[in-house]
Parts: sequence; C-alpha cells; structure tokens
Amino acid sequence: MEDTDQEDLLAFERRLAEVVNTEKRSSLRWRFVLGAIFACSAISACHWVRDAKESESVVFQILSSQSAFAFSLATICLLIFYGFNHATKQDPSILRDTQEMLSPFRLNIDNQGRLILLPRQTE
Amino acid sequence: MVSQLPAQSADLDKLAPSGQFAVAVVSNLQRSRSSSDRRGLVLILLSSDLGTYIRRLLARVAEKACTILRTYLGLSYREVSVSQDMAHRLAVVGRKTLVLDLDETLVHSCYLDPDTHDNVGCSQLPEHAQPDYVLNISIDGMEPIVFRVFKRPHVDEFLDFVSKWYDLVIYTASLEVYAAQVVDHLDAGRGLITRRFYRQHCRASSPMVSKDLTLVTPDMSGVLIIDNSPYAYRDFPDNAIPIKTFIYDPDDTELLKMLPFLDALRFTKDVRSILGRRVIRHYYNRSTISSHH
Repeated sequence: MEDTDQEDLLAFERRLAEVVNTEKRSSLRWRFVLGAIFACSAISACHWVRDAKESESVVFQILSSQSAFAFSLATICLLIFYGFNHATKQDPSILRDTQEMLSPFRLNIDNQGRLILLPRQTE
Repeated sequence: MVSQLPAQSADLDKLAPSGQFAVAVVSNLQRSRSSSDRRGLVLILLSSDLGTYIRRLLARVAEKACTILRTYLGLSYREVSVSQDMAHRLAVVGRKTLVLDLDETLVHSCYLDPDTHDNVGCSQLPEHAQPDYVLNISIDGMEPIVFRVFKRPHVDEFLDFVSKWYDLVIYTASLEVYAAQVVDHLDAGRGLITRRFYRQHCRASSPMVSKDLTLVTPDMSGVLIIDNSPYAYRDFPDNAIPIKTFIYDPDDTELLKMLPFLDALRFTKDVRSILGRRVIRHYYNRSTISSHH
C-alpha cells in the first residue's frame, strides 16, 4: 500500500470515528434522560400512594382490593421501561448505515469507529 | 376450629365470633392463592417466548416513537464539528468536487410519451402519489410534455450538507431543456448548483451513454461521482460511489446514509485511496458487447 493511501485511510478513519462517536454520546445522553424520568415517575408514584392511602380515596381502595390487577399494571410499566431501555441500548443507526455504505469498498467499522480493511477476494 | 365449621352450620348465628375468624381464614387462603398466581405470571412473562415477543414489540414501538419524534423535530443528521488537527488536514488537502446524477438518483420523473402515448416511469407509482414539481417541457417546438417530478426523500437536506463540503456539479444524461428546470427547482434559489452538464456532454456509445469526468475537472484525485447507473461511470471506476435507484419510495434514506461517508471522504488527499477499493463486478452489458465482436 502506498504512503498516500495509508495517510488517506487514517484521515478518513479519524473523521469517521469523530462522527460515529458523537452519535454514541448522544445515545448515552438519552439513556440518562430516560433514567431520570423513570426515577421522577417512581418518586411521584410513592408520593401519590401515600396521599391516596391517607385520604382513603376510591382509586386506592380499588387498587388494593384488586391486587392481581395492580401487580399486572406494575409489570406492564416495567416491561415498557425495559423496552425503551433496550431501544436506547441498540447500536446507533449511524453505525449500521455507515457499515452498509463502506461494504462496497471492502471496509468495515467497529463500535469504536476504527476502520477494518477487508482483503480482496480472489475470484 | 375451621374443620368444625361445616358441622355447626345450622347454629351459625350462635357462633358469631367463630364466624369472624372463619372469614379471616378464607381471606388468608385467597391471598395465598393470589400470591401463587402472581409467581406463575412472573415466570411466564420473563422466561417464555411471550416475554421475548413482548420485549421485541416494545423495543420496536420505542424505536418507531423515536423515529417519529426525530422526524417531527427535523433531526436526521447533525453536523459534527471538526477538530483542530482535522481542520488543518482539510486545509492541506483542499476542497473537492462532487458530481451528482439527476434522474433516479436525486429525483424520479414520470411523463406521457406523445409518440407512443405510453406513461414512461409511472409503472411503480401509486395512484395517490403527489409530485413535488409539475413541469411543462416543450422539446423542439413540439406540443408541451407534462413531467411529474418526485424528489428523493431528504434531498434538500442532503444538498444543504454536501454544498458546505464540496463543490457541486450536476451531470445528467437527460436533455438540457428538461434537466435545467429540474435542477433550478432543486436549487430553489440557493445557488448551490452552478455547474451543470447535460446529454450533449456525455460520451455517446451504444447502447448507453457514459459521463466524462475530465470535463468537470482535469484533476481526478479530487472528483467523485454519485450515480445509480454503473455504466455511467464505467470509465472512472475509482471515482464512483454507487447508490440505489430511486423510483418513488417515501421511506428511502439512501441520501442520509451517505452523509457520514461523504463527510469523512473530504479529508483524503486522493479520493481514489478509498473509492479505488470498490469491488467491481463484471456487467452483462460488457459481455454483450464482447459477444458482438
């Protein structure tokens, strides 16, 4: 491989890594946002349960008497949270799109944005 | 006490205190049974295929919601700032030229052929398709032909980004009288596309025309072409980026997928270092030509 080719591949890789890793930081940020929202929801739910218990509200009586329904509702909420968490954990779409773009040129990219040179296939 | 309850059912009124205790016992049993049901439910949800299916469904719903939110906010590609050493590298290598094809790469058009009265390019269009532009093109003084032009999704955003990174050139095999109007609409007064090459600039050779990139710039190290037709750039395989043919697909995202690649490519000294690595397959057209000889 010529020096120009090597130099160009390095520059290409560095810029691609900048783009991909910035997107990954964005995904991490979204996970923090999601965690914060979930924490706020949990805390507010505890406050709501306490207030409902003290005021002998009808809603709380219904929920306490139908314990199976209450538990199912909690389970559904947990599953929804798990689904969102799973979605945010997925590889960012920019990584998959870039890998697809690079494949005709015998190149690939890992999760850190490092370039992988694929050998030429002997036909 | 519990076992005696059925035997003394006739005297239930006399044993009121015992009755209350019996009710408490029944409540305990009910609660216990409910607890067992809950454990079973948890096991089913967490370990069975149903749980897996639900998780995948929710993940898909979340991803769809994110997509809708992204579209609503207009976020699809955010430009990443260039670091200092990369900016220095960019200054050294200089600005490059990006050659773009028009039909079936940036737009798709559909028209009625006045000679054969056939609809050309309309076979895959649904009834409800709304064109972005409707052009009346008069060729050689004939009756005007109505062209319905559909933009590829995200083409405006794509042009905004690549015009900041590259000098843009439109190189199309279409007639100038048609292509000039389409490019004017795409440009929308932004002045992004000033250099244009049309059918008269193409190399004519049966059965298909090809494009001469040396007309754009004599320096082949800084020019790249995006075209859906491999035959168009057959003379310059080391300067080409392939793209899928676009014929009315509202969900098409090919132009967005290309942006990170084009962003990184401008930092090369010679684009052929990257583009020259492309795996070039032999096309049937070439075989056909060979068989004629």
